Amino acid sequence: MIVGKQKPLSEIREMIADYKKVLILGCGTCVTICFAGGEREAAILASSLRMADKIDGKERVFSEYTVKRQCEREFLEELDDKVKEVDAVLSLACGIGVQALAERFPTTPILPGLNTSFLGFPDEHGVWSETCSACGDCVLDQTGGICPITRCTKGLLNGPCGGTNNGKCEVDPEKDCAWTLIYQRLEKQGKLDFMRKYYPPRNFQAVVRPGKITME
Amino acid sequence: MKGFQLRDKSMGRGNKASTLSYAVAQPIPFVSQRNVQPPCQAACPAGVRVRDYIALIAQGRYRDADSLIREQMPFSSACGRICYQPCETECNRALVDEPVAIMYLKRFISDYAYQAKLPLPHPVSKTRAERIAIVGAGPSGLTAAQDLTKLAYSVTVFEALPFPGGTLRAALPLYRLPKKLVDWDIENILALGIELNTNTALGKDFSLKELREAGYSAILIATGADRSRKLSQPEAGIFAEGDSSFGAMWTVHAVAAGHRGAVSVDNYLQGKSTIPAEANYALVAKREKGDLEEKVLQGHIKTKPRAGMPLWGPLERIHDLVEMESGYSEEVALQEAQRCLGCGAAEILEPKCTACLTCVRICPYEVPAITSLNTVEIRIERCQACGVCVGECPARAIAFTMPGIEDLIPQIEAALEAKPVSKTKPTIIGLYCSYWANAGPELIKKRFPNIRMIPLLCIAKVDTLHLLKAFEVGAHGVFLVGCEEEDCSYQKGIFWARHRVDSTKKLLAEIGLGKERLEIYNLPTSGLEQLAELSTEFTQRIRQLGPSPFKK
Repeated sequence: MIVGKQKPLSEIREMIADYKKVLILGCGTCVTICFAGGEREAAILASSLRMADKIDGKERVFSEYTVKRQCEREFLEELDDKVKEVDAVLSLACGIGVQALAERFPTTPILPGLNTSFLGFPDEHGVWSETCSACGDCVLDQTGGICPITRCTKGLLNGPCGGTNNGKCEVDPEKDCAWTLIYQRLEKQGKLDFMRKYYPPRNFQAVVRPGKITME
Repeated sequence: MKGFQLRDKSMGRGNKASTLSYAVAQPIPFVSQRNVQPPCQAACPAGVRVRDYIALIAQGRYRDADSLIREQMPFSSACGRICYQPCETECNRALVDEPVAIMYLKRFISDYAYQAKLPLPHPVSKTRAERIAIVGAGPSGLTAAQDLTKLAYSVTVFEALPFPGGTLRAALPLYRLPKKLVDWDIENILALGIELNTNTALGKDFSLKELREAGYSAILIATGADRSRKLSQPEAGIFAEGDSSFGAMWTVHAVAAGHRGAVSVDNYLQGKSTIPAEANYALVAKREKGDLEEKVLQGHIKTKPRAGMPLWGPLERIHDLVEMESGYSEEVALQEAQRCLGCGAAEILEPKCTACLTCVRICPYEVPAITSLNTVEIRIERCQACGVCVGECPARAIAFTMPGIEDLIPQIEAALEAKPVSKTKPTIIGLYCSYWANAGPELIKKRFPNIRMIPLLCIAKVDTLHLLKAFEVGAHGVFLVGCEEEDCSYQKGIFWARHRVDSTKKLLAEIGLGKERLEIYNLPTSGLEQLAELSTEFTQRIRQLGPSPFKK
């Protein structure tokens, strides 16, 4: 799923500085799950912004709402009346949701309340790790289900590099060396010969950006 | 005959009339139940929200408890003494040790309300044109009168005897049920704005035909069953309920019949089917013995014996016909109410649930589970009502139907509205755990006169939004106080309370309000002395910080 993180309050306040009526719009799917932009986070942000404004003596009206997914045009239809009432929308969706909103409401500024961080999954409650780069040229069948493009700090296809250090990465000793993980996984599967395979330079044409897929 | 008097001692110590902590103009409303019913409530013929009023008592919110009981059980003083207690038969606590003493607790509340002379409810404005006649002012007739009046109809009750109350007042011995208390129950009902005509007997002083001619749109016969007889089939617009149709029953059945009669009459006047729909609950939160035994073994539930009913001594009883049982003291009532397991308190609001699995991961009791359809379900038979999941769910998709979470913001607002005890003190909200405090609201108020103290069943029920809201509506400072980790009534309750306080402090710093305005204290049980020192320090700190920009 898509993982995001709310922007600092100060940055959000700068973004909305010129607007008097702001709709804080949560998104009910990925960013709800990663505690960045669901109904609870929208309510917390609204309360925080109201208080911060009051301290600065600013008069601004916030409304709050959360839709199921901001990246679906049909789910945005119900917003028509709400958006009409405001000067700007502070979207707590990922960048996809922000752009979908901006497309539907081209005359209203749609502001991103969070940074879309990566594609990943939770390690435990409150901790998420990036695991996929959406590169369009998946090699997970060869690498024991561990993505070297994403999880190797250097994105090496022919690893490990000389900087692997007892299973940790030389760039960031907090991080696991992806290629050590791949080796260990392949060993469990009796597929260590995959480690000998040479990967030619990646095909960066696999997905021509911006990507587009049409179901056949 | 010597008139009834409630012996002073019967109210327990420190429980003098008229002072609830920050008593507010109206009782605090809270969320209604959705799909799950606790077994006590399911067993009650009148559908009294037993779990919920027990939770209110456990928090020392006696006035809220009294008004909640009276919604379904207007004869609360009577039912606190002479019920056959089907609720206690079904109580899940019986699987741990003994059932919660529900009837005695109900009596404690009605005695409290009577003794404290709690204000009577306000009259309801009659916005509906129809007038309804009710024949009989017993438990059934007056219950129907209460329900129909609350639905904004004009109701007139006709009673053959010189007084209302039916069998409760006419036939029960004083040592079982003091008449003054029945009168108090009736005063509470009539205060809603009900016309009562006593000494007016059907068939002698008036006929049904005359009632029709006088313009009553519906007539409900609730004359009781003082003699064996059967009413003939009622004609359109005339309804018969209670013992008059079904034979003699317990008071609680008569009250239940009154509720049904009111629904029938209302349906008839609105042109709907006159048969009342059954309550629409999907599930009853009945637990398994084995599961609860496991919880006891794991230390999740501590056994605690049921409090017995104290009796007056022979020397006190010899003088009069006042009842033998003296009633719980406040201290005993609080302890007894805190034995309630809060069955079936949390419910998932399915359309909002995004199956993020947060509740599955964090519940200390492994209550939420993934179903075969990959949705999340709350296994109601395991839930301990700690509230940890409610405050964490990012989709706000878990409802807590027991008082104590969803009614917290109205409580905070009411506390801030209340007149300050001292004008020089900053406005501070103290959210305290009732399990920790071991004291009723009056003692708390006396001990902390300058703090607006709000009780909770564990501070894990407080979430970030509650805390932010408290500041937004004008608190200058907020502290939480609860047990030390090892004494917490719940698993990990303190961990979550601290976690939320920490993240709210960060937010307060970002907002520019300052993290120093929020604090959490974990103290030994009943550590009121320690809190007194800490709250003085905290008050000093808030005074130095100055009033918040949102002060009232």
